[in-house]
Amino acid sequence: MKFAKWFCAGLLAMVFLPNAARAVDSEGLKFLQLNNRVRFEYDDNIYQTKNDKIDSFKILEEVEMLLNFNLENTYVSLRYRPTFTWWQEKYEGKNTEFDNDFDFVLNQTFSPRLSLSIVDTLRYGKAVVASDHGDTVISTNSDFYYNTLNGTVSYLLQPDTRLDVAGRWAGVWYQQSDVAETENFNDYVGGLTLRQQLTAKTAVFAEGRLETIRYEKDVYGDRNSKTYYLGVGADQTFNPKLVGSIDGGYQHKDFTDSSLTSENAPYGEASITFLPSPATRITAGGGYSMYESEAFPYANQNRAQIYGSLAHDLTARISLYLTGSYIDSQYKADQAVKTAYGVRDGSEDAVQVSARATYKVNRSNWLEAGWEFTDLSSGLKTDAGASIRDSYDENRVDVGWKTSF
Amino acid sequence: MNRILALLLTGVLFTAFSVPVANADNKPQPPKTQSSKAKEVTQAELAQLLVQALGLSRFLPAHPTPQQCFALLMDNSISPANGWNAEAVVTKADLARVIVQALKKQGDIKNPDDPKAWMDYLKGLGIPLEAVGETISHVGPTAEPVAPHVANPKVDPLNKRHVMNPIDETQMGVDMELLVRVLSRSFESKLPPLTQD
Repeated sequence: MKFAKWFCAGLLAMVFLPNAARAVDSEGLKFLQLNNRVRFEYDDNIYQTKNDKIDSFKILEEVEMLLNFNLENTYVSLRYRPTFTWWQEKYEGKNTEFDNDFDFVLNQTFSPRLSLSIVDTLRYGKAVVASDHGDTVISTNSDFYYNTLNGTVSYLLQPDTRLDVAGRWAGVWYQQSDVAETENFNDYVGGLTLRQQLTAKTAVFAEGRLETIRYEKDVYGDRNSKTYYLGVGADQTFNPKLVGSIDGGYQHKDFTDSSLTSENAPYGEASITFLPSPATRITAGGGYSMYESEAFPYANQNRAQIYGSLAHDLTARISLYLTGSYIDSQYKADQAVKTAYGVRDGSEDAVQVSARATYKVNRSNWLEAGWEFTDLSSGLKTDAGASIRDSYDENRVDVGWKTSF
Repeated sequence: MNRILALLLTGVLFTAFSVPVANADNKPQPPKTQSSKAKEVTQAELAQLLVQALGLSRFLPAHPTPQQCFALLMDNSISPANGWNAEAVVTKADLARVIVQALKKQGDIKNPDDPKAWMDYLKGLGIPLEAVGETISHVGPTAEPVAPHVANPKVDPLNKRHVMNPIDETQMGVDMELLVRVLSRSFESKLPPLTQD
C-alpha cells in the first residue's frame, strides 16, 4: 500500500510538472531536466555486521526530474528522484526497494531589502537497523521518512548589513515500531544571524541559535534536550583560487531529564575551497560540536569530523573524484538515560573513503565506475562489557550509465 | 504522517503550478531581471542567479550568502578569471567565462587567457551578452553537480545534516551514502546483548 501511495505521488509529479512547464511560456521561466541512471553494484556487507557478513549484487535504476521556474522576483525549484533497487540477496525474501527523494526550493524577493527563502527536503527509503526478532536482535531494513524544512527571512539593514531570521523543523520517523520507540525524533531550531560585508573579500557575522530535540516516545527514557548557541564567524576570499570560511562559539545543552548532566562546550567549523588549476578542485574542512546521539541510550555525543575532497578533470571527457572523511564521537555515561544494563563512557570512529570516475560519451551520456569503503569502530559498551553497536567494514563497487534528456 | 507528507507534496506541486501562472497574469510584460534595466549586476548577484539556473540551490542553506554561492560554483569549476568578488560589477568577459564554464564547454576555448575568446565562443552559439538575465536563461540544470561542502560537519543546527539525509554521488562526485551511520539498537533489559566481548 505504501509502495502504491508513493508510486502515485511520483506519477502525480510526472503529470503536474510537465503541465506546469507548458502552462508558462516566457523566456527564462522554466527548465525541465530529466536524468536516468542505472547502476550495477556489489556490496560485501549489506547489513553492516561485524561477523557473518552477507554480500549481494544489486541493480539500481533511478530517474531524476528537475524543474526550475525563474521569474523576476520568484524562483522555484522542484526535484523528484525515485530509485528502484533489486537485490540479489535479501532478508525475509524481499529483494526490491523503492526509495524517494524530493527537494523543493522557493526564493521570493518582496523588495530590494526583504526576501524569503524556503527549502524542503523529503526522503523515504530503507535503513539498516537492529531489530527485535523473538529472542534475538538482528540486522534488517526498516522503512523511514525524513523531512527537513528551512525558512529564512532576510532584511538588508544597510547595503552591506544583512539580518537573517531563520527557522527549521526536521524529523526522522522509522516505520518499524521497536526502532521508532527510541529513534524517532523532531528537531526544532530558531536563529538570528547578523552579517556585515567589511570589504569586497571579507564578511563577518554573529549568530545565535536555539535548538530543541524531542524524541517521539520516551519508553526507555527521556532524551529530549535544548541547546543554546552563540558564535561569530568570517568568510574570506584569499585570492582568485582560494576561498575559506570559519566560525565558532559556545554551546550550552540542557536535558529534560534532570538526571542527565548538562554540558557547556565550544563549537567550531572551517572549510576551504582551492582551485590549483582550472581542472582541479580541492575542498577540505573540519568541525567540532555537541550533536544528537546516534546510539541509544546516550542522549548526546561530542563529535569531531574532518574531510577532504579532490575533483580533477583528466581530459575533457574523463573526470576523477576522491573523497575521504573521518568522524570521532565521544559519549558519556552521565548523559545516557537509565537502563537495566547501564553504559560506560565510550567512543566511536568512522572512516570513509570513496572514489569515482566518469567518462563523458557525448553531450547526454556518461559512463561511471565507483568504489566506497566504510569502517566503523565502536567502543560503546554496557557496564557488563557487552558491545552496544557492531563495528563493521564495508566495500561497495559499482559501474553505471547515466543519461540526461 | 503519510497524510501530512502527501498534503505537503500536493501543496508544493500546486504552488509550483500556480505561482508562475499567477505571476504571468499579474505581470503581462516579459519578465525582466534587474540586470536588463539600467542597474549594474554584481558578482554576488550573478553567483546567486547561476546557482539557481544550474539547479544547485538544493545544496545550499535557505538564502545562502555570496560566499556559499561562490564556493559551490568553484566546486563546479565556475569562476571568473580574477576569482569571485562580491562587490565587483559583472563585465561581459566575466559573464562569458562563467557561462561557458556552466555549459561545460571550457575545453573548447583555444585561448583561455584571452577574454575575447570566451565572448566569441558564446557569440558562435548564438548566446547574447547584453543582459545578464537573458544570458543566464540559456543555462539549465547541470547533469553532474558537485557539492562537497555538503559533507562539511555543519555544526550550525539550521544547516546540519541528520543521519537520514545521506549524501549521494551527485553532491560530491563520489557516493558517500554510508557517511552517515544508521545502525541503531532498541535494547530491552530482558534480551541478551548482541555481542559479548
